[in-house]
Amino acid sequence: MEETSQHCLSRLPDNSALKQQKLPAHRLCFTATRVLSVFFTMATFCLCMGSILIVSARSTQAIEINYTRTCANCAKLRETASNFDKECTCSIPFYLSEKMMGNVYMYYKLQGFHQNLYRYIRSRSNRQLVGKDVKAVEDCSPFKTSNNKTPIVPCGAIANSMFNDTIILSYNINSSVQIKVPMLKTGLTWWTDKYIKFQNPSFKNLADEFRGTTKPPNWPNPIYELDKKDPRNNGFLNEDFIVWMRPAAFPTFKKLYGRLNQTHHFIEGLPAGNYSFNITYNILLSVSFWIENLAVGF
Amino acid sequence: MSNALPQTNTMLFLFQDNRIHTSKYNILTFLPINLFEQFQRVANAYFLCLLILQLIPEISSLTWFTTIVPLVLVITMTAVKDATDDFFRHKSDNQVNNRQSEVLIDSKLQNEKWMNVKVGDIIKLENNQFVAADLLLLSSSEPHGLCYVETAELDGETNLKVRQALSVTSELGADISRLARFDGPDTKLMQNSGKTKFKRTSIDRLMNTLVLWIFGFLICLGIILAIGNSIWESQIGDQFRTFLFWNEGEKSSVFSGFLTFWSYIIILNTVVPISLYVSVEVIRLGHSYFINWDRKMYYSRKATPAEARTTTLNEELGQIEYIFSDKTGTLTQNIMTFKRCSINGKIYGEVHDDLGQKMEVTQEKEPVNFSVKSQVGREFQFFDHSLLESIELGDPKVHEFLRLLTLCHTVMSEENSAGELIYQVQSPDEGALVTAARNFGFIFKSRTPETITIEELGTPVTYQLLAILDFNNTRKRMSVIVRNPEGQIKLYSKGADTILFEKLHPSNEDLLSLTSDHLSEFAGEGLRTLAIAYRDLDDKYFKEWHKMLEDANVATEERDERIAGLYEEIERDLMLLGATAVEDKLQEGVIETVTSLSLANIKIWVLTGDKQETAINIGYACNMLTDDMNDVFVIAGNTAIEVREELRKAKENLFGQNSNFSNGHVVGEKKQQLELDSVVEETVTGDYALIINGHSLAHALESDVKNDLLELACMCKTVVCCRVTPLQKAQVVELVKKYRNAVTLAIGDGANDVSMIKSAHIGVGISGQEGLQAVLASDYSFAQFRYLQRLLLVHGRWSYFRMCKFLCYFFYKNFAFTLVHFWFGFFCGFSAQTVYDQWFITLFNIVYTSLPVLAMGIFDQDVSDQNSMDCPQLYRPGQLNLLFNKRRFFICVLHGIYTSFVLFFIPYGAFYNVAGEDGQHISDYQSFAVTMATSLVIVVSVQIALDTSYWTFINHVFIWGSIAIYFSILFAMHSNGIFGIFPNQFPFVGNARHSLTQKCIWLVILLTTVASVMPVVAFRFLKVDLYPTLSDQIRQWQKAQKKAKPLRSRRTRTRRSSSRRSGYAFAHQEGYGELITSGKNMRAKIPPPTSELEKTHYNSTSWIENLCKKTTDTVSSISQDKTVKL
Repeated sequence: MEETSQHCLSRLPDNSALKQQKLPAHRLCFTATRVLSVFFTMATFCLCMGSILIVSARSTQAIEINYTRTCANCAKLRETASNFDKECTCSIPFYLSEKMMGNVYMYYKLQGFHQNLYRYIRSRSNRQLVGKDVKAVEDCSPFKTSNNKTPIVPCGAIANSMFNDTIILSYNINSSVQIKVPMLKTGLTWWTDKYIKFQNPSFKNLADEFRGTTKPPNWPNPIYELDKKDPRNNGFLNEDFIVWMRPAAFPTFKKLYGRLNQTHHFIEGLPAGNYSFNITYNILLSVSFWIENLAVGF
Repeated sequence: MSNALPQTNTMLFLFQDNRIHTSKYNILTFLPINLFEQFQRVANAYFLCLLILQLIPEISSLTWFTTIVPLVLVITMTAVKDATDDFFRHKSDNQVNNRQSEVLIDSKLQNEKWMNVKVGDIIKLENNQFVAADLLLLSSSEPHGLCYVETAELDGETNLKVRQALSVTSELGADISRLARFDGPDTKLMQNSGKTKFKRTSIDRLMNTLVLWIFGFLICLGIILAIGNSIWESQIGDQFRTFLFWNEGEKSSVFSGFLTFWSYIIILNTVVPISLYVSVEVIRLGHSYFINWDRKMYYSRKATPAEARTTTLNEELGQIEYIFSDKTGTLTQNIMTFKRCSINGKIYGEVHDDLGQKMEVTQEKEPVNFSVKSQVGREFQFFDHSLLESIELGDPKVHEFLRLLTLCHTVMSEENSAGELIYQVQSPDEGALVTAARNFGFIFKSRTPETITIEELGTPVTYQLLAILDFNNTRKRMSVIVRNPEGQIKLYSKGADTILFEKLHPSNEDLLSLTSDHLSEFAGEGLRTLAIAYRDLDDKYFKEWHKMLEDANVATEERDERIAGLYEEIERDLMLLGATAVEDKLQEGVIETVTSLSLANIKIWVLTGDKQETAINIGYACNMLTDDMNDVFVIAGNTAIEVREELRKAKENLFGQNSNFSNGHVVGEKKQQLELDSVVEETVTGDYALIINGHSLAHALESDVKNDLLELACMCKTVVCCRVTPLQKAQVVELVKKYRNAVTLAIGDGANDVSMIKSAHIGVGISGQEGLQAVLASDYSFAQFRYLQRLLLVHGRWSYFRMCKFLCYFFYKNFAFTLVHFWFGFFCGFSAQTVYDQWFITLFNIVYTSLPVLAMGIFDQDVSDQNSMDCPQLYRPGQLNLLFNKRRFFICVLHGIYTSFVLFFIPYGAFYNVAGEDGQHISDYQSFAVTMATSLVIVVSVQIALDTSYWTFINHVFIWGSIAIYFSILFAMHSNGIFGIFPNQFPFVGNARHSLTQKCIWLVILLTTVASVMPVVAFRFLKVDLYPTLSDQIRQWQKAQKKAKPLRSRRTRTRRSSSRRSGYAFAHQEGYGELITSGKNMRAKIPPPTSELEKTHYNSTSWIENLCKKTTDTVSSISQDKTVKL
């Protein structure tokens, strides 16, 4: 009996708001005023945003030139696997009717290239690319090692399939004088990619660092000879390489190839006139060349 | 018994020790056993299979941690829960095992722990001690080696049961000493605590079906994608072969498709998230705690809070359609109070006003003041002063009446430490009578086997007890034969009027008819009656009789028959003294509860072992039967044919009348009547009641009549089954459960309700007077019937509402989350590439989105508890299963599919041609993944914000917190530091920083959110505005009436407090008296309704007729000992 009287108080549930389900609360109610005001606010916002975006999109100019068909003979050449290292060039003229102001970017655009395949996207070695261990190729199947078991650098399907067409844009001041449009090969990548995700083993002598490794089967040159003109743009830090190594979400994608160096004739951008570009053709699939100026962003 | 003794020595090694184990694990066995049990669950086993699939490198499309992290988390949570449960079981085991008892060791009494008691030990037990094991009684301090045992923990009965020691052993010692017979797990209690049937809710079953459907859906998606993969590989994939060789041994597109199928099964498995089952359990646990914590279901007088003993059935409480209620102890208090008596043709206990009209007993009226008497029991109130006056005047009949009450019973008396007299009673009726007599000055003091000492108006008198002619079910009476100090021998008898009236001396005829009238009056008020008679015995006659009795007692053949014959022989020519009327008090608030539950369209069936008249009276008292009813069908046939005929007639009657009002209100259509205008509907179909007794029920439950009975019973508003056995109770419940497909609830308090409680979907035990058995078998328990209203209308309704909302949201969320992979499949060559980061997939369900939906599932309220109580119609959607059914599920799934579509294709459109502000590309896979993940988290958070209708601070913390946690984890996992350590595991370095600083990404997220949420908002808004449900209306009303609301609740509160202030016993009496009088007055004023059946029912209650009808009640054989309370 003593037990029950002791229980008496202890068994009475607490009178807290939580336990009695009386927590102060706001009840959500779909009242007409509230819903309609939210509706109209959202509508106004979206309309404004939309018109701003449309206006800004109009202000950007873009030219897209598909050179796969023009370079059909090169494509044919490539189809035979044995000819993969034969050089093939073609040249395409085009006319820019209006001048392109501000920053001008040059992209290459691939159509139907599935960089998002599961096995493709995983076929890379971040440990290798960060320069820690150039021989870490475990994740790179099916391009881990060459036939004689030498580890491939950079290993993996992504690196192997790197876009390596060279595109040179020329400006025809008149019918006889043709000058090369200066393109910057820097600033194409994310800061974190260039300074964190991709690191060369050391800066001294890349060729030494990569000794004991071999180049990917599709590559004409090893990783330390990607940019013969600029020695710093070599190895894992080559900007084209970094751009390529960030796989695209969809089979049709464009990647930044170069920025216009605004000097001499091109201080304001690309003037109107006749241009042509010369391509060293390597890729198999549908490729476009894309020039765009992004003056305002949006 | 005697056989058991010699065996004990030889078989000692076979017995276990007396330690009780209810716990499942110990420290060593916990891990293996618990894991084994957990992986027996289908869901866990399924996820284990998935995990194994993921370990196969060819088809693994997700890294192993995406499954193992949630799985480990889930299993750990369950294990922790199991461990705590078991810890408490260990604790209670230890408590029991360490109880002390005195054991004879080395011929000395020593204190020994229970667990060390061995078979063959001799134990000394004292009064009010717990019994350690199954024992054999050797001897006791009471004469004749008697001892009284309470078996509440065994069968739930608190009545004392008499056990007698073998005469050989009884002389051995003065104290109760007993021999242990069975120990530990072999004891009756442990043997009987069989595993309770595992109950599942209908939502559970629906959920399982849906999960199966989802698996089917999953396999369909897998097949579509696998075919897609095969086609893609053969058409387009060829061009890729130079970049991506086929692995060894998988050089065909069909085989690639096959592997892709499994890969997609792994990826898409998140449509059935592992956290679903755990979350459901957590929510139910939360709801159970709310029930335990509810102060409004706490009964302060007994210090009993409501208890949810099963934590898995809560939402089913919101779907109850049928309640099966026991009467005694559930609807009534099982407290008997002496209310009236008729002595020598005069009624005492009625209160008359000045005009001689009977009036209601109210608290204003002064009760008889007993304070002058020394031994007054508390809580006794009697309102008629005339009885006291008669006693003081010395009316011999009155004195004899009270003397009889004091002498003729089986009550045991004892004095407690304070010197107060305490009565140990076998039946509460008897206790009420003895206590009443005591209050009128005839005090039963003590008894020995040969004498009874009483105090008659202050003078102690000792009567010699010559014989007790005990009660049994066929006799329905008991008598004592005593010799008073003057030497006269008297037989005092009390018993059922039907029986006793047959035994009267012919000279009693006038008094008999008068008393009969009084008895029917008492019975009409729902009082339990006993007739009282005595007989003067001749000394010589008695001696002869006594000798014959002794002969009969030692006879070896036909002993019982001979004794019964002798009893019959002496119990005749009785002189009628009068009758007593004892009130079987209704529980507090029963009437309100019944009214409100029937407004909620819950049908209440009363299943009782009591006799028909009592049951009907209680039915009237509780408002279940009213005089407004169109018809009350009484089925009381004794043969199958009679029963069938009666049922057929009743049905004809019902449908005949019905067709006048509305043609074709067939029961089957009930489900489709979704409108909440139940009131209208009921007046159309009319109110009917069905009363059936156990004997007829036995016939009616036979296969071919069963459907008739069910159809009839379900058309009736009230069904009362009387004289039913515990088994029949269960059969009735099973019948409704099986053929009506309705959710049933059984509520009861005694051991006889256990079968019914176990077979109903939900069993509720009243933790009240008759012990523990019902509570132990029940799923919920509380102290008062009236709490049922709150349990169902508030807790049940909320639980159902919350669970449905939770499930809707959960399925929506996971479809939205998972199906983007399907859409993405068409763009990634069906290569089973996931859209999101692997870590996001791992954490999405268990970290980013689990808490807000749990908070909603636990705390959400559409309307306040007060409103749910005030408006029982709100309960309808649960009964009709409107909030979560297959249709609802499809809507949720479509919503999820729509959201996934928007989630995928808006970013797709945006990323198709996008470039960053600095010209750098942002349409890469990783940015896309981050954009999608962020949009998804925001969309589902906004959605849960819209779904949550009751925003407490917890919801705020959880919703905002989840979003904050998402972003912090995102930035942490995309940080330089973690990449430096695990470059392969966290390849998304810098992504969050880059993507989320782009304005266009935020615009994409915004657009996605708006596009996926706005249609839902619009739809809901229109629905609430154009087709508001009742709860919507109440919510709006609630908002509008915020100021008026406190006024309202105050009013109800004052009404309640006034009834509480009226005091203890009176709180019940007011409602009860009001009802009785209203019912009775109505019957008196309004001429009996047109129905013929009711008339016959009245006639049948007439005692004269009963008297003429000499048939003994055959049904009595099925009713238990408890029929003492006639």
